[in-house]
Amino acid sequence: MKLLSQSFDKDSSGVVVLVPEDKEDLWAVYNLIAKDDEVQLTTVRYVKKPGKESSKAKQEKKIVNLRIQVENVDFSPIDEIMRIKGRTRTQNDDVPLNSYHTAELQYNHKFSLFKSDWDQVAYDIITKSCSVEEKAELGAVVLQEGVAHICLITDSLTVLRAKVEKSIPKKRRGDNSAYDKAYTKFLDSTIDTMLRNLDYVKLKAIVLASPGFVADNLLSKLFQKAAKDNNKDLLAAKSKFIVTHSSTGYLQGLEEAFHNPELQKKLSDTKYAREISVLDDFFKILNLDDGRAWYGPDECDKALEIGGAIRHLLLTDSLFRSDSISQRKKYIQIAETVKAQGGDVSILSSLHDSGKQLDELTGVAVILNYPILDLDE
Amino acid sequence: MQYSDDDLNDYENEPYDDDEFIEEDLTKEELDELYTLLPLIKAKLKDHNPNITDRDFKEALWFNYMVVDDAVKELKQNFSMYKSCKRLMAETLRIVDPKEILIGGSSKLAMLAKSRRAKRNNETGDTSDSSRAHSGLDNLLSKNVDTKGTSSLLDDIDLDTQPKFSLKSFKNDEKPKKSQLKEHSQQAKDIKLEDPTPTKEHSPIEKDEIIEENMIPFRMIQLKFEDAHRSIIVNTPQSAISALFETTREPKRRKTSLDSTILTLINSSLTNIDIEKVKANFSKPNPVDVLANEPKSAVTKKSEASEASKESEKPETVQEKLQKLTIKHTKPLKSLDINAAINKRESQNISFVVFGHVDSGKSTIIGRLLYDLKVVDSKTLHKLTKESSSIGKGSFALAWIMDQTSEERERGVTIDICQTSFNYKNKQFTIIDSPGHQDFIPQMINGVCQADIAVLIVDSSDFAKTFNHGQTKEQLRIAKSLNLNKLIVVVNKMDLCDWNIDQYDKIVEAMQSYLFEDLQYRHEDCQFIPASGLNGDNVVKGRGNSVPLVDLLYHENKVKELRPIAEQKLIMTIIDVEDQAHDNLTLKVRVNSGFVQAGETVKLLPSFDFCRINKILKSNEPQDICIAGEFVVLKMKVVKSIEEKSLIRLGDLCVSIDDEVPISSNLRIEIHLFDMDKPLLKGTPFVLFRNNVSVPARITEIEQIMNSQKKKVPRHLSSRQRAIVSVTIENKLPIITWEEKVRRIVIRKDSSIIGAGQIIEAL
Repeated sequence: MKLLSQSFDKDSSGVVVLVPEDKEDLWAVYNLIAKDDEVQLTTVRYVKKPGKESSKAKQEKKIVNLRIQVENVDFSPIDEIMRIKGRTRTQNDDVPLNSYHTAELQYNHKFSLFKSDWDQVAYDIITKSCSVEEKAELGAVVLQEGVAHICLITDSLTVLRAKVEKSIPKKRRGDNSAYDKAYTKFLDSTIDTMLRNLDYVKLKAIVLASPGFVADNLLSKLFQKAAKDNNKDLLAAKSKFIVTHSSTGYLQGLEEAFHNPELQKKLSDTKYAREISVLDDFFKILNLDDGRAWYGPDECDKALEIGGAIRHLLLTDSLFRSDSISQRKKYIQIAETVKAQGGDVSILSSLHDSGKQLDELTGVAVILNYPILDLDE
Repeated sequence: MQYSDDDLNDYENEPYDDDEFIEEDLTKEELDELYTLLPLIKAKLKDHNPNITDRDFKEALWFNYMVVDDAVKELKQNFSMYKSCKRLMAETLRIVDPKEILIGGSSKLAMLAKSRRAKRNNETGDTSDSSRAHSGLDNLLSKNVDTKGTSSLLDDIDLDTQPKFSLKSFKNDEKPKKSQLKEHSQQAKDIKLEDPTPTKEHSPIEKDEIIEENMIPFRMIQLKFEDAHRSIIVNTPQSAISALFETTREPKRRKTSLDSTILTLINSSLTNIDIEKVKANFSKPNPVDVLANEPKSAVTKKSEASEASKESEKPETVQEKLQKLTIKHTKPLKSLDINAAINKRESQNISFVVFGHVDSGKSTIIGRLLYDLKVVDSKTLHKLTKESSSIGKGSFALAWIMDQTSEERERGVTIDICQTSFNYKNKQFTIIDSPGHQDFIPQMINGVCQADIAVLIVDSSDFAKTFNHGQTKEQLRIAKSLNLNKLIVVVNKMDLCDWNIDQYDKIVEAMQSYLFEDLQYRHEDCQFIPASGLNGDNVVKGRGNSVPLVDLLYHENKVKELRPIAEQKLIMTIIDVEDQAHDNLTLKVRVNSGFVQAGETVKLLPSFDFCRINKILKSNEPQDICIAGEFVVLKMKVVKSIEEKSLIRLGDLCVSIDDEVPISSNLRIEIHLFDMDKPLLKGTPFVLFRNNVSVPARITEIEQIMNSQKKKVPRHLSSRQRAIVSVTIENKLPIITWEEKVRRIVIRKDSSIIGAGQIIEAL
């Protein structure tokens, strides 16, 4: 994302002008825009042709610049589409004041965002997504005999791009040709789908995870094919492919694959790998049930009161998307207090599986420096 | 009101519904049989009801597999049913609007007769008759006097043409042509005059037909698509019958459903409820009347109506689709004494799964067993020995009997289960080899689900390490959790320690404490035996005086309790799809409970394919019946199906067509958790194993924790808790709770089994 300009008043209201560039940016914007913010952007609107009053008058597509007071934001990460719905705040020759409009956010088109109250979290989102550091994108294929999931992982999103499913007959005493044939076909179609969906030139790494030897077989078959087709790009990208282990070929195997220490070392600078290891720590301590790991807003409040007890605060970004301003403020307050007390704060993306799991646990969790029992009473 | 032959041909050329009886399609032998039986059945039913046509006779015979008595029964049922309907119809006709409906019926019949006649006349070149086919009812009534005409009329009104024409002619009477209406009412009066005193022998026949045809379209439309039928009516301009035909043809899919429902109506006996329904339908205002009230707005309504018809085309739910299907029971090809057949077979068969840690020698022991029992000849073994030595794995020769794939041989591990059968002392055994590696636990679970007895192989030379850190404990836990209570522990590789009895005793002791205390195995269910798979000691040949493995298995087979199979409901699990080409399926199944005979029709779930079993093969031998515990290959034909092309997967279930099995992706389960290194939370993904299917699942609600003191139900479960939870699974599964083996589940996360339990119900 590009930040073109920014200006804030003393009452912390202000405006920023941004240019989103990829779906990661859309996600950032989605987390940024709250209800009652105002967005100014160029958008397409169907306008009645002037002159004709009758209901049959033809509508005309017109490009207009509108300022919208946001009521609702929709985001579909798979289609990479974000729609902002609200009432217009400025008048226009074609669009009357206070009429509803839904605008789609376009890549590489600037828009202005007015907020009456900019807070630290919102500003952090902008700084983070505008940093020039190269964004780490990973491809991953999680598979087992008969089923393969092909996904794309960015800092804040896991997108399932394709699923390959094939019924493979069982091995038999005597004749195994049916099994061999089906298995080869399964690998072939997985490779085809994978190459179609993952841009191996651009991606930082591609993780192949499976139980047993399926991922190994996939890799060797992939490069046999690359050598045969003389696909130089693919051959050059060989070092990007990492084979690792997962106990299942379902999508949940992805998280398990990232537990592999070797993989973590290679990908330690990716946000996704960090999120997984933080949550993993939390779960491990929670399972010990020794009073060092708690979740739930009330429990966290109590831990916060003690002062200096919190080692690590885990939040999901869905908490900050809340329509209730007071709730958003409250969590910003908590996050800042923990930081001031010397604790770590991690905000997990709810579009990763780790964030989804934390969401199920109310979205807020703490790891304490020392055991405190009965926080829940 | 003339319509061309082309329109008629269109209808006649339409393909018949699958389930219909088509004489042309029969083979020569079948036709011969049909015609020899025809006079017989005719004679039997002569006094019952004179209205039964030749076609009815033929059809009844066909659907009852040429058994005269059954056909007679069916016909009696169907035709007496018609009588009761007739009475009912007569009543309702009087209540509702006798004129309208009678007009509909008569004009329709007349139309039909007329069109048929016109067509035939054109064909034969006899034009004299066509002049008589001018005014519908008059003509018809005059025809009634003449016997020839009536019989030809009866021939014309075949059951299979009924739906098409009834629908067509039903719309005829919608035409708001006033003069015509008058004319019709005049005709109707004529009928009325004749009806009460049927002096002619043939008049009741005609009345029967009128009523029958009338009743069906009304019921159909009111039940199925009021919207659509309105659109058709609205689209009908004053005289354009041909246009009307087009609109009829348009909703093709619906029309076939009409056919099938009509068949349902005709073939199945109408219950009281059905009659009530018909009654209720007729007491509603006639849609014709409703529309006649606003004839002017009809044209402008056109667009609305087409919208309505669009709406009625929205995808149907499985339930709706199922309601439209009528599945008939089919009779077994041979009638058997079920109890005797079951007893004879059940006393023979037993299956056992062999599991254990990697490299404990599972495949080798099985290979040894098969070799010593001469299932595998020495030539094959010699070849395998040569091959395995050539890649430096000489000791794997026996294992290669079971490890067939090139990958398994190369890597020296079993990857998937492999079954094979053998006979010993007139008993049948099915042996299932399972992989020992942690990664292939799903396959091992699959094997456990198919077995009656567990055989655990432990490595005597490496016991301490493999038992405490390996898969042995986990595998035992799985077996026990999945209701496999009988266990034989084979302490293998005794040759490596020179049959040191102290070491054997130590292993047995360690095993026993785990089995009895941690897993609650009963003492009498566990047996221990030392063996050497590589040398063949105590596998088939006893070492010294000890009883070899095969005799232990034989003993188990002999003493096992016989289950009341004859009373059980049928459940079969699909363990392999060997072939799926069009409607023909070749499936390998294990019968979990109950029995099934060749010729019967069964239901596949969750795909809802209804299949008739053509052949049952066991070890390539055709069988008449298969019973619980057996592994068989079924050759089936899909009779009916709700999807055009359905995918049969491993783990699908096969049950009797009468059993209602809920298909759901939400389950309530009771779960007992083992030691975990992470808690199980709401939303944590895991893999759920049920029978031989595995699905990704998440907990949606923790309902109750049985062994927790905390008042508040937390959002997570920790080690060793017992709880009742709701889970959601990625695919829909058929949920059966009446059979223990199909009810048990285990759950697995991150390479280890974290819990076991059972399904309580589908939500």
